[in-house]
Amino acid sequence: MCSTASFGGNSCGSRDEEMIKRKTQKRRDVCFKCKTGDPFVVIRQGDPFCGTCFDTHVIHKFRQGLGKTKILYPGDKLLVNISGNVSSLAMLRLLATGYDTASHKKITADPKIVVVDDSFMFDSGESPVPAILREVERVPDMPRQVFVVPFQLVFLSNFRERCKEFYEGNKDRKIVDFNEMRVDFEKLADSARSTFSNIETVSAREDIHRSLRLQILSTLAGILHSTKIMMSDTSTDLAARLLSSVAVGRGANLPHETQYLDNRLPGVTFINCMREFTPKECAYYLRRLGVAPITVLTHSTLLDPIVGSVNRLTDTFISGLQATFPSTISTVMKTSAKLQPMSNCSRNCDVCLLPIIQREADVTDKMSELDLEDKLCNGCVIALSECEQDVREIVPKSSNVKAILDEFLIS
Amino acid sequence: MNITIELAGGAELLFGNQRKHEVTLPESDKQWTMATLLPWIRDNLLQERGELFMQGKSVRPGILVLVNDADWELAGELDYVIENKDNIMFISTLHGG
Amino acid sequence: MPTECVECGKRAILKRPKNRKALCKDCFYSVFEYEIHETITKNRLFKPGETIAIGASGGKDSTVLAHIMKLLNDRYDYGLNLVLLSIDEGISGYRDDSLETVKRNQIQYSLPLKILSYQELYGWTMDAIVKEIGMKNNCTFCGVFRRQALDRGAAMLKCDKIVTGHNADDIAETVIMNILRGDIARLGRCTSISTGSEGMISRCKPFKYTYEKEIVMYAHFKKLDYFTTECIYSPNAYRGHARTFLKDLEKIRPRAILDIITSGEDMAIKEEVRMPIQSTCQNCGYIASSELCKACIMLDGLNRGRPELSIGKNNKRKKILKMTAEKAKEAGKNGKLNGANAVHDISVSQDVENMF
Repeated sequence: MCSTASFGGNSCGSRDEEMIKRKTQKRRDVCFKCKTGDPFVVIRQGDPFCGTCFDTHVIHKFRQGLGKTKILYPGDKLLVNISGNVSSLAMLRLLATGYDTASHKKITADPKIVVVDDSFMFDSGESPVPAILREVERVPDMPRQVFVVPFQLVFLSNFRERCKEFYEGNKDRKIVDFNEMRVDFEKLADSARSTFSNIETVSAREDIHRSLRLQILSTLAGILHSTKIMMSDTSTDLAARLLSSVAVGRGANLPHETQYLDNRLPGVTFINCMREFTPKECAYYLRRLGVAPITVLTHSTLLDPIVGSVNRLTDTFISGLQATFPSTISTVMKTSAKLQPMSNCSRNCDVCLLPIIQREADVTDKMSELDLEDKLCNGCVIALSECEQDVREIVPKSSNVKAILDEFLIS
Repeated sequence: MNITIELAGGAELLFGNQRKHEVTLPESDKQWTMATLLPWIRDNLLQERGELFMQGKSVRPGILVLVNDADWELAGELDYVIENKDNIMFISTLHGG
Repeated sequence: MPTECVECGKRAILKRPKNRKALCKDCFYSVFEYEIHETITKNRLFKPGETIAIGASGGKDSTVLAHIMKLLNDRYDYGLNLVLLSIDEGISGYRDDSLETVKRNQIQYSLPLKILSYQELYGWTMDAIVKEIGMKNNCTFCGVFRRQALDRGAAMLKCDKIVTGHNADDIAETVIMNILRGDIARLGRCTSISTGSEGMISRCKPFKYTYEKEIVMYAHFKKLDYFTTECIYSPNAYRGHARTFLKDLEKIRPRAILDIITSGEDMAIKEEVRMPIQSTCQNCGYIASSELCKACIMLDGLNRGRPELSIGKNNKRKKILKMTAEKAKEAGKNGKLNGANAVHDISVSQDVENMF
């Protein structure tokens, strides 16, 4: 049976053809906006921008997102997750423009820059953290407190209490470096590396890694009494994440994973403030400011772009499709915006913090042994089923969900 | 013809972690364009796998190209004709964090 | 492979695409057939005494579907009357051969067969349509016409339900396509195992959780007769990308295909998003989202030599809708719109009546 027709005809992207045609016909020798400046970069569909107009464009876009959602209140403690990649550095600089004394409508939130150091897991020699801290130092105008958190801390028993204790003793410092905690970080790092090597697939490794990062950020938010966490995922990242989430059965939670505001945990909001940005815009904004890109690795950075991992595949697929059909990413983002979070959930996943849908689980034997079915979302069930026994015990146990929720919920 | 190739954002990982390469392009009766330079780079400079640098005839989506510090889209992308002392930069914006 | 079947220990002849478990031939047949039986019973797809039209194209999905429906109906006493229903779109070369296959299936499975053509129903073959509109949007026309044709055929044969061979790969692929196209409305419908609304014959997909690769292997080992060519008019590059993505994903994690379907089922749409309201076509009575059903709009366009108006931007469409709806009203209740007449003139022939 012809499956094309029976599911509703073509979408051969005739709109995309138009877009590409117009793009190749546009003038490239003068700024599209002001009609006078020398073009510096081509963005959107073939629109050349001069440096000044480009700056205005990105700053406006950044502020517009925050303004529309009215998410920041005066005096809010704002956690800013800086991974060191191009979009996080751009986000930091864009946020700083809100503190420029010359700008009207200033941002009055109180930024807490968080650098989670997971470089010990990747074999590439140097950690990007020193370079990140140097760049954070150079950012003008914005008041800030910086937190450096070694990723392996999340595996410490009573992680939250220990961190809270350390924070209380150091809260007035400009830089709060958790590496100074009285913990055997080497030993913890070894144990973390060993845990991760017992995760059979790279896909599961990346998934669990991200979940643990979110746990660290939420825990820190709780300790600091912050209710807002800024994340730097771009439109490309979020479009790819949408497909990755769909691929692991997290369809019910797409709004949290891909919309501007991620309210998976009651009491704290993850803000995807770079949602409307392309990686190119981020990279060129950094060039405008003379900020050099920092190389940050993930588990699949050097793997095969197609079968390396689910995230690698979705990223390659979306970027590739976008190159041929320029309306791809914006359409996927529009799809995401039309979805709403589900209402019938009673708890959050122990690992990734997403609300869990009540359903008859299709659980493998491995999972039922541990009595985890109703404590994990679909995606985490899949990730953990690709892990060795010990990982399946460690990861949910190290979960800080209850502590995080206790911090925020008013019962 | 001598050109400089610069790499950043993770692209250098594919080229033995070396961020700057001074390159002399072999003589050719045909003009060197980005379209011919890219495969030459892949076949001669790349130390890791080519599919992480190129896709089809162009760079992999996610890798930005600058010619003499300007967006290559302003210079004609693959059609740009390489000149002596040109600086070609590749910035990877792929993932991390 | 000197590997053992995980169920019975005999020599394994394949690794199940669904979960890579090694199975021998007989255990593969058992688990394949049993899982479909479970899908049918768990979802209460049929009731005893119902007449079911099997959408038969001669391709692997519908051939295996016919085989399985008959097998399970006999083995588990579903008590169903089964009919093969085939649609001739009028694509020379492609359809002629697949129809021959269906005719052979009729004999192989001893099931009654009814063939309906676009020519009889609408007065247009796909060959003629493509000549008229070219290769753009032809799939849209065909899709709309086929959907109606199956419904009308099933109605003529007094069927209670229609079953189609859509498999897990098809459904997963469609979820991806609809996400890429921003087609929220379709998302809900495409993952339902049973679709149908008031007045329409419901259609179901017993193969919803069945992997395409397993259907191919089943057909291969059972030596089932089917026809394997792609429709010559389908150039849809976009769907090809989605298909490649799915295949790559399957390589990384075979279960992803089912997880995509789960996601599709779970995606909830915001209330503010406008969904089309269902009403009835003023011309032919079929289900429609405005005054006229898609088929009537398209036919009218074709017959007036302006087929492009029936596909495309909203304001053009609204214009035709207005024009054609007014014409339909003028022509009276049994609308005399060009071409759509044929639908009302087909009566159930004697030989069909004699089928049961």
